Amino acid sequence: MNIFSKNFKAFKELVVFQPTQAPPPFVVEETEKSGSTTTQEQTRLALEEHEALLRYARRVAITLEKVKNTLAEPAPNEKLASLRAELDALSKQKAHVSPLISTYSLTQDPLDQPVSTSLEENTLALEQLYNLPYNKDLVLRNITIPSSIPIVATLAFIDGLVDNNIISQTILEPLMSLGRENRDLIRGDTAPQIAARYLPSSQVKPAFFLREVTSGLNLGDTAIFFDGAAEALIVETKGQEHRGIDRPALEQSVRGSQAAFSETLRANTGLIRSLLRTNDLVTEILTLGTRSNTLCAVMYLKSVINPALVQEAKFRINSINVDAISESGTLQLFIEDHPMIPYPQALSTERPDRVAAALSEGRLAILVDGASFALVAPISLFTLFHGAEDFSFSWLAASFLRLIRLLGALLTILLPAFYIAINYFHQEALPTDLILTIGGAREMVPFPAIVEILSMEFAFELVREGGIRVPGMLGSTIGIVGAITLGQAAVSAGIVSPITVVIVAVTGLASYAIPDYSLAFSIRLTRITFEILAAMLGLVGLAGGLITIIVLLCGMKSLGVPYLAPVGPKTTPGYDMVIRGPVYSQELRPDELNPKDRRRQSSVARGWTQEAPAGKKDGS
Amino acid sequence: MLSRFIAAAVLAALCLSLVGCYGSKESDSVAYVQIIGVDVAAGGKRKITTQIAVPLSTSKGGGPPGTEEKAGTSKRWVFNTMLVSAPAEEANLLRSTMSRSPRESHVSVVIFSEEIARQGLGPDATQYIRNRDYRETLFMLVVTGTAEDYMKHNNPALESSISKYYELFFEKASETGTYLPSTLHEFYTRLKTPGASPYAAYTGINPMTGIANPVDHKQPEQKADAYLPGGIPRTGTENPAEFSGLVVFRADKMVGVLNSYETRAVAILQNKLPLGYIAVVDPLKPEKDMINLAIRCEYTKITADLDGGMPIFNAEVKIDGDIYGISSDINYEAPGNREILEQQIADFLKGQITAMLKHTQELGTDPVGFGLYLRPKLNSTKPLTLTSTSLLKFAAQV
Repeated sequence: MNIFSKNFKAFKELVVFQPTQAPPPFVVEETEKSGSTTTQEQTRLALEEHEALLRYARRVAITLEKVKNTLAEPAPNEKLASLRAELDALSKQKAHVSPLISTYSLTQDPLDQPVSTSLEENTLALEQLYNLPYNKDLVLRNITIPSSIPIVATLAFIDGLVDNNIISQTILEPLMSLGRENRDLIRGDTAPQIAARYLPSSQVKPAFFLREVTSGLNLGDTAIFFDGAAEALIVETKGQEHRGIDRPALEQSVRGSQAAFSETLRANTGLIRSLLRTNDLVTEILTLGTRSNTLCAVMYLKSVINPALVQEAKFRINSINVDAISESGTLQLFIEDHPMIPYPQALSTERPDRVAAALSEGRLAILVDGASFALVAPISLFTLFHGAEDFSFSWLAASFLRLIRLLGALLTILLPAFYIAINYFHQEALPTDLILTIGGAREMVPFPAIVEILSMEFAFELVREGGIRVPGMLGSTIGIVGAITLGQAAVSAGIVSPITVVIVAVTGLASYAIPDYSLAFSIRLTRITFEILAAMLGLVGLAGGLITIIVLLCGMKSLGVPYLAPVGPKTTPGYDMVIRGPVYSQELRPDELNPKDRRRQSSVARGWTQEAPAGKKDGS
Repeated sequence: MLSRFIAAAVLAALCLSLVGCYGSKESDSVAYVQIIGVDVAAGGKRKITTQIAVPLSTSKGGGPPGTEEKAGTSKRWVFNTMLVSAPAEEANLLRSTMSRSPRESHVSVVIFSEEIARQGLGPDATQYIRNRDYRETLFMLVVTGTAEDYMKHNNPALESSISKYYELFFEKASETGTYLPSTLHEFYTRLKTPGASPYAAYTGINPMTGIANPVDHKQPEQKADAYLPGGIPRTGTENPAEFSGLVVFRADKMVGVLNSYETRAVAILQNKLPLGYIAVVDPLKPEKDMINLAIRCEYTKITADLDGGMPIFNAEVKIDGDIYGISSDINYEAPGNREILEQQIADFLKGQITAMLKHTQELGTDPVGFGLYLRPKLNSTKPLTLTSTSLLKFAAQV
């Protein structure tokens, strides 16, 4: 092969397409629906029924062999009793494996099947439900409970959700070691006897269906199956690792409680109960998600809250048909009255003291297991401007802070749109010097004012979002550095005018004065709409936008309560809406909630003002 | 629901895009006219001068780096003078001479030459009154000489904005009383209202030679001189423009001017003198000594009555005074002396008010607005329109 041939071959290999020698890449293909589902299902059912009968037959054969061996020579009473218990279990199992019942059971949802009297059947059912042996979370532990008639049992629990020490101390030790010589369990009533006499756990409840069993297992409880018993015991062994009570991350305050919710539902309900230590506080537990089985607590003060609110909240939560809910925010989206409107219709808070205050006003709280934020509903728009420390400060200071927040919201929503409207349509509305300054600042900027504002807003949002995502302390640093550098660089490059940077910065800063994050986000969205309206129609567009948003807000409800109450519709105003009155003057609960008990405190809340000082009661 | 929402949003967007306002203009695509000057030209035409702000120079440092130097050295405003047959034509021609769209909404002052004021301002002033582009707070001036010259020589050193210059000037008018702020709106109102005559602030350019040119009339108690624009003896590098005196009108025609002291008398009678400075002859040593005082006059009470069909006005003027300096070192705060000084001041101000009234009666004008006090006494405004101010009798008590 000469050099020409070599080069030609190399060139050919380079240019001409060569099928790749590498294995085909992984591609997720569309799932094709099978046309013969019914036939396959019938075959599967027949097979499973056949296998169940075979297992029963096998057990009968083994037991008969055992009986033959036992009766071949004189046997002690204990052995005979054990043999009899086994035969009893067999006879009970026979009832379950009769063809009619078996066929019916197999056609049901596996979770709806009853607990079998056969340990083997229960074990198999759990293995199928939890996909053993692939799934390593479920642990099955066979034990023999020493007794006058030894009882074979199987423990099932999910590793990671249970506390192994609790299992050892409250299940294994009592059942396997302690007091074995005195045990004399009555046949046919095994589970209730063990639960009543030998399990020291605080919570033990029977389960008759596999749904109850799996529900308990998923929550971190341990299920105990007994051979020959058509029920299991669910023992409280929860021991999931969780975060402790920490300081609030988003709702920090200079005064008031410094505790925040964690991800554990029961710890959270406990925090609330520690602030409202009354039998009147009700905690109802509901389950969310057909697959996630997330626990959800609805808390309220029974003698205060309007019962219709509780009824409606539970109705909405129970009606949710979704596979998984893992966050209170997701739940909020499922139950809110107006999902197409971005304004938050429930207060999301991480502070137990705020929840307790809301409950005492006649609102209800919804907590979701795994979520460190509680939902408070119903609320009004003005509730979202309340801060955590408002309740600790003087009424003057609290009112001032609330007005500042409202002003911040107004600035956030109006300032850029107002600038755009003035800049485009109403230059006469500004003092001459100001419009000349604005016009002069825009001299070298190549973009229209609306593009300037929108681009700076976009940059600001980028900095904000980036600052949140950057881990740890770097976040705020990058946010500040990014904002300063970006603004200065944009002005230096002549892309935006300094006045735009000032407006966007003031607007951005004002948006942080809004205590509720969701509300701040909604207001930002509204602001962008207003900016576009202002660019198209000037102040007329801005006024139209304002009217539209007010009409929209007037029509909104939060769990059936008007969103703009007590302003629209007008209700009896309290002293804790926008202006917070002196604490002793807040005698009534919010009118719009229609609570059972309207009065919060007596008309003379400070009894000492009506009496002589403590040291001078005797008239001295 | 979602489809209806989207349909409504699309419909709203379409409506807005179809019927949205198309008159929008970027703030940097507009030329801001700040001052308008109106002069008489040959052939019955008008010479209209516009003073337009140059934005870069008024916003130093506002632009990108590198523009400050240019801004500092460039002009703060430009002038555009045109001969036009009608004021409306000026708006057209102005748009033909510059790249930017001129906006009159920021015009702060309209300046008329004395010549045009004597011919009558009605036709010229009306267009600025009726045109809604102009603000109601539009100031009005009458200048000695031509408006064009005045505008070009009026170059304030302290202000970068010519609008601010005039605003500040009129804002502090109450600190002296020797000139009064005048708006076109007030001029028009007085023009259409029986019972008061229009007036306008009087301004001009000082030659800056340091030579005094006071008006000759002087009260016996008066120590200082009264001036008209251009007569104040001064030199220096400050702006040569100055305000002093008042232009008075009969109907829409200028009939004369009041000097600075007569103008202050008008201010006293109108309760527009919260602060003023006077110098009176020392009553106990009248040869060469004087007393300097700050006075405050906000409590003047004018009453009107009809005596057999003859209107009689009584003005009660209350003055607060604060002695600043006494060259004779006589203690005028001591009992006995104080009354002498008070009488001297009363005679001085009474004389000035009487002189002003006499002057305005001669001119047939009523800048104070005495007729307004007479209105409640009359069944209709018709007698007011027929009354000649020269027939009125005044009694001043200070």
